[in-house]
Amino acid sequence: MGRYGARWEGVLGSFLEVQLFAPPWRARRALEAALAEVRRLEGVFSRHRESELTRLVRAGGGRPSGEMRQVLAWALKLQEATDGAFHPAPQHGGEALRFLGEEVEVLAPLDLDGLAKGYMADQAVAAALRAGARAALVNLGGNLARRGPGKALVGVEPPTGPDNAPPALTLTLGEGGVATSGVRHKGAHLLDPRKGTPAVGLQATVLAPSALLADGLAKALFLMGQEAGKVLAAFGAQGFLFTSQGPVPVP
Amino acid sequence: MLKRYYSRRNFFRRVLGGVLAVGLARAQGKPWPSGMELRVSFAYEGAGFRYRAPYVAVYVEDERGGLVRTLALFLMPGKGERWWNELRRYFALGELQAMRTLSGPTRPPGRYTVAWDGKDERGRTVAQGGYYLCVEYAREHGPYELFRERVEIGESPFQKAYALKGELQEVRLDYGRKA
Repeated sequence: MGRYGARWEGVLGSFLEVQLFAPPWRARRALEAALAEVRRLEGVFSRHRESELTRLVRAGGGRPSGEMRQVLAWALKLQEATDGAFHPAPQHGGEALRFLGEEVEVLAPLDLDGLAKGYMADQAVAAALRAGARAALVNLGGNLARRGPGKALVGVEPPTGPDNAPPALTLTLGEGGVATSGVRHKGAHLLDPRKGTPAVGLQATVLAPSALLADGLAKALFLMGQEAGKVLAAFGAQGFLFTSQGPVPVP
Repeated sequence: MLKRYYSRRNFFRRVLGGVLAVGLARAQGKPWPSGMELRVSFAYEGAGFRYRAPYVAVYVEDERGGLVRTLALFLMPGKGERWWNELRRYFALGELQAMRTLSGPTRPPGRYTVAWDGKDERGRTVAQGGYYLCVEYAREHGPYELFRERVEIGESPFQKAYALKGELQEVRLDYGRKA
């Protein structure tokens, strides 16, 4: 057993970093399995190239694959739980999709960026474990997912200040996911679907039982602030809302 | 026991000792002003066929050219160590073992800011005085560039901006109170 790691740039317009605890003869295959899984799922969820998502949006609905269905169901669930602060089509607002038995009706240009990356990180971890790793940690552009025995320390960078600043917060990640939404890298880019304007805030970090949940709930926490406490507790997640004084735990 | 008395030799020794002590104390200089930091902001661009993000080292040298502190080291840790010497100045100053620990992944073109809090690699506060701020840049199939500028660290804040011609486009130094 040994520790192995790799990092690829330019995956989903960002980076993919994988760390493994694996037997040496399985390590390489497991690393590549994680990358292959992300590339495969890009063909399902991407908005920027031909994918199942773009086909669904263009056709106004259809019969989704099992994976697409799962993510759409989570999106609806989060939208309900957060009263629309999380939205599968934030630029559009209102009702975005409807399940009709096996089929799904798409009513707005879906944007699953707030959820799909977390889901892909989860699936990449699962792929690495299937390929023989004992424990795996995947960092897909800041969305972390981890499975397996042991734990990882996750340092969260502060929303402002120099790039070599020490972490503002250190979390212990056993099994689950960590995601952060903030203004550090892309500025105020998070759209509030209830108002249609960019949301005001610094940064929100969520530690949740899966990276998909962490990803979605981080956006919700950023938009809702302290009100998101109940939602986070309902999903078994722990959030941290960054103010100018520092991180505040929610709930 | 001999009675102590002043001889000429004894006197000179005492005076010399005192002068040496005062001189050494003065040579240490005043300590780094508390609450101040030097923010180094650098921007680089680049694109093209088979583009690989560059290796970048941002570090501080003392007046004699010794390494004081590494502020940023964009290398790929665990990968291609035999090319790390492309950052030739930093590679000669630093130690490989320390580079393995300090380095982070290479970054795409953009603007980055790192801060120096006045500590050296061992965490001791350095003295005021002259230092050289270096930004070293090396890219596969691309240029090698070195920005090296003397800064005078004292009580008063300063801001300097250097427009550069290469892929390393700009370096800004901002010495002042911590934000």
